[in-house]
Amino acid sequence: MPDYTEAGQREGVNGPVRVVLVSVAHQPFGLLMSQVYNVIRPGAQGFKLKQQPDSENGREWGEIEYRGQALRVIELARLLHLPLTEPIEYSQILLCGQLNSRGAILEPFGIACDDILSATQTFSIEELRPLPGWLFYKRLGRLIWGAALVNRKVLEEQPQLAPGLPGLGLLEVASVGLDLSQNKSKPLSALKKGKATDFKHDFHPAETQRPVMLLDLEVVRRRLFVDSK
Amino acid sequence: MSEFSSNNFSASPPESEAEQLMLEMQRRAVAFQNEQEQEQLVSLLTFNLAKEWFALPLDRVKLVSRLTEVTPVPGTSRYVLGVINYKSAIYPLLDIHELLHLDTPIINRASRFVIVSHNQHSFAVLVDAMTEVREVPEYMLEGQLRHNPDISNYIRSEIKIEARLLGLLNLEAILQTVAEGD
Repeated sequence: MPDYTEAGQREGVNGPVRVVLVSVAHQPFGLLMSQVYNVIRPGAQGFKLKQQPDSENGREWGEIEYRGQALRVIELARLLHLPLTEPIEYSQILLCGQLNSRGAILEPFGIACDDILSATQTFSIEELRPLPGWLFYKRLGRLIWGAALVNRKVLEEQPQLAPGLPGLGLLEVASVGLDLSQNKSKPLSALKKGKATDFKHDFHPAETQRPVMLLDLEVVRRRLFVDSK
Repeated sequence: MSEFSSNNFSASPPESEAEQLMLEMQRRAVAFQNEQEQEQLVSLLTFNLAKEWFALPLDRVKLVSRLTEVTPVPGTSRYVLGVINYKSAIYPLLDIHELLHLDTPIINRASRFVIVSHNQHSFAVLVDAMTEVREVPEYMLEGQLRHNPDISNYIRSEIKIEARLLGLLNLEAILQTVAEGD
């Protein structure tokens, strides 16, 4: 059984879990608020891009200078094997690391995402679900540690998710009087891998909540500072 | 005692051809009944993937659902379409057409998600149309009629029913490929 508790314990497994919802390649993801210390917005004072990631030479992170300090920044899309949409200099960068007992951030790093959808979403443990490791461990390791059931309205309120998203919209054939013989069937190829398809005019979504993958940034810190040594 | 009672025929040797035939029919009926009582029947949920006919043991099937929204999950194999939320439970959704070398499915109102449970894993499989529940003798689950090395791992056995081949899916092999494949 995969260990899903590591990320959860930071918030206390019985207490509310506070999550930052971010958008990456037009998909929402959740990060534990306890692992995020600040947000560096594009064009912030003291922000300067020093080097882009160089994955061809094995360096998946870029580097920025923020308030005189060099900071490794890794694009969440790159970690998740999703298409890169925003370059680092136009991304929202979440400041992460390991907090010591004196409140200093050890091994700080930045996580670049396209946008911040909601900075304060609170979930109870009943709203979180484990995901089987066989789905993605081979490719992502333990970066995804579960899913939160997020009210659809929270995601649909975000303007950047409006056209054709969220989700692939693989359909609910529940509409009364729906005539699919009138050329309304959809080739599955349209649904494959991150291609957004808008079936809303044909079908109604079945559930009011939508699963959003939760990411453990501690896995990223280890990847940047422990595994790369 | 009625003159049609079976004892009527067994008490004295049959004389007419009709009596002989009735005795033989009776013997066969008893044998058939005994055979059926001894035979373990297995219920299979059958469905179509492309034009082919497949089945899963009914006791592995949790439910069959109409299609609902699929949330993509990064980093999965190409046989995983994402996850679905069905009544607040989340299930990975597999499309095994490519695995079985079948045509890409066309989504329509006959399409369904079959949610199955296997070795503590629950997941959904996209199927093109449900057919029916079939009861087959357990011994029939052992045969393999066709040999296709590319897909034979994923089909536990094949049963010939009314001149059609029904393939019983091997969930273990399918899950293994999905977990380890590209």
